[in-house]
Amino acid sequence: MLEKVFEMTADVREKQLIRKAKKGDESSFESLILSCQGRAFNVALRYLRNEEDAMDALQESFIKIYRHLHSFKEDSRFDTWVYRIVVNTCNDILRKKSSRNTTDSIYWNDDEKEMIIEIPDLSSAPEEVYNNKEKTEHILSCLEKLNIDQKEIIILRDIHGFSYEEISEILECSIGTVKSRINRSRLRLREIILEQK
Amino acid sequence: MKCNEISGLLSLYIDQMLDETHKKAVEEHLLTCNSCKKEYDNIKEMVEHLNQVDFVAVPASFEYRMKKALKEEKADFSRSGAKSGSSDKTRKLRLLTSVAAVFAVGIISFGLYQDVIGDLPNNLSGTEQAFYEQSETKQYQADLFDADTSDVDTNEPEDVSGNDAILYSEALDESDVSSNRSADIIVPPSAPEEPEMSVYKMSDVREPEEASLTDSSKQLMMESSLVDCSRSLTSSGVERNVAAVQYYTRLIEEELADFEYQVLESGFVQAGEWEFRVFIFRGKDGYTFNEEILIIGKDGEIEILCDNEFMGL
Repeated sequence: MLEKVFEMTADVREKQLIRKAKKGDESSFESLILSCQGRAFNVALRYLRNEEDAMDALQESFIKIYRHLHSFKEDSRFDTWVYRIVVNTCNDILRKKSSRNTTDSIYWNDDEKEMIIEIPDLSSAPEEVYNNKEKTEHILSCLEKLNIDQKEIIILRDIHGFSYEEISEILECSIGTVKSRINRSRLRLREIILEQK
Repeated sequence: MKCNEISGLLSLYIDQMLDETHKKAVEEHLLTCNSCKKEYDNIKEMVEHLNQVDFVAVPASFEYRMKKALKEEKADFSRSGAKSGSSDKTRKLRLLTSVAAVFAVGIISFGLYQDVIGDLPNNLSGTEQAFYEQSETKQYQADLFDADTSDVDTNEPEDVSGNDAILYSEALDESDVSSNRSADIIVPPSAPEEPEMSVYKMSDVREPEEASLTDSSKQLMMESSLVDCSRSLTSSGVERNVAAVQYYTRLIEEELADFEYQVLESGFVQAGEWEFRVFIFRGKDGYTFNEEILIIGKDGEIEILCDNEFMGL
């Protein structure tokens, strides 16, 4: 009950901020994007596998949002709209990059030894943590072998925990499509993992 | 349920998206099917690992970058806003300029068109008009030599009477580079001092009364016609060809003045040569021929190709 009240208050506050931002209030805009900045950055990071590129994508996305804020319908969810723009921007960057064929791994540096992403301490025994780390790294490296559509849905669902409804809004497709895409992508990722063992 | 059906539901089962019936069906299948159970375990483990992937903090530099980018964007926006305010005026000005340009092109085209088919005969006076109106040519020729006594158009104060002959030759010189014959054209008794001014007067000098052609005027007409013919030969365009055909037709008319005939066909044969198929009905003395002859127009003269010596051609 209390959670719902907080949720409603947050919703009302978000709408107020949107209205102010639409009128040109810069601090309201900054407050709005700050609420989804962290998640948006991590989505971009998973897509682009490079912090600089992720920051570029995020900046580009936020500028787009600033420019087109007037066209945002207030009955939609603001954060989903933001993530949709971030995802689209990342896909654009990837398309441009693929033509240049120059991608850097976030997991491996040039000599494929040094890892960039640290896995959190799960308060498990050191050996277990090590195994977990290795396994996660292996899964993430296998994730790169999926095609972009499959990788995208795994990033949104399994890494960032978006709901099926949210994904359908972000990717602008039906729930049915999301369901089948998630299942197919996971099955394919499993196949790749087994092949790599 | 078959294994492939269960495989299609595994992700939904893991994400707890299945209704009770399907959930139970999957659970029952997994209890009995090792292959599907293994698949389920693999996917579940994989998803759990992915769920544990750590979030990376947004670099501190991003805040500064973003603020700077927003400032630039705002500045760009206000600049473009200012531009868009004035762009309405610019757009209107552009539209007006375009319309004016279209009119200007139209007027210039019309002027050029007039120059080709209309002004040229006037500028060149009677010679060109001979192509169109023989009577006018004759009138002009008469005027040409009666220039000293001809009236000057009161509307043209700068007109110098008596300059027309030289003007005529100069006009030819200016307009027909290919022809050297203009140099042979008779020199007028008094050389004009302002020939270019009188160029505009050529058509105005014409006297209303009919004047007879003198020998010299005929000579002049021939010379001038020759030059004009050369013009036709060297110029491209339908108007020039029409002028040449008209010119030769007039010569044929003069040559066959006593004949009863009909021009069956006329046309351009090759550079500077026109052909006329003429059917002669009757000769000078009324003798019936009913024969076709060929007349070639070349270098401003006509050549009659006729086998019948009785025609007297």
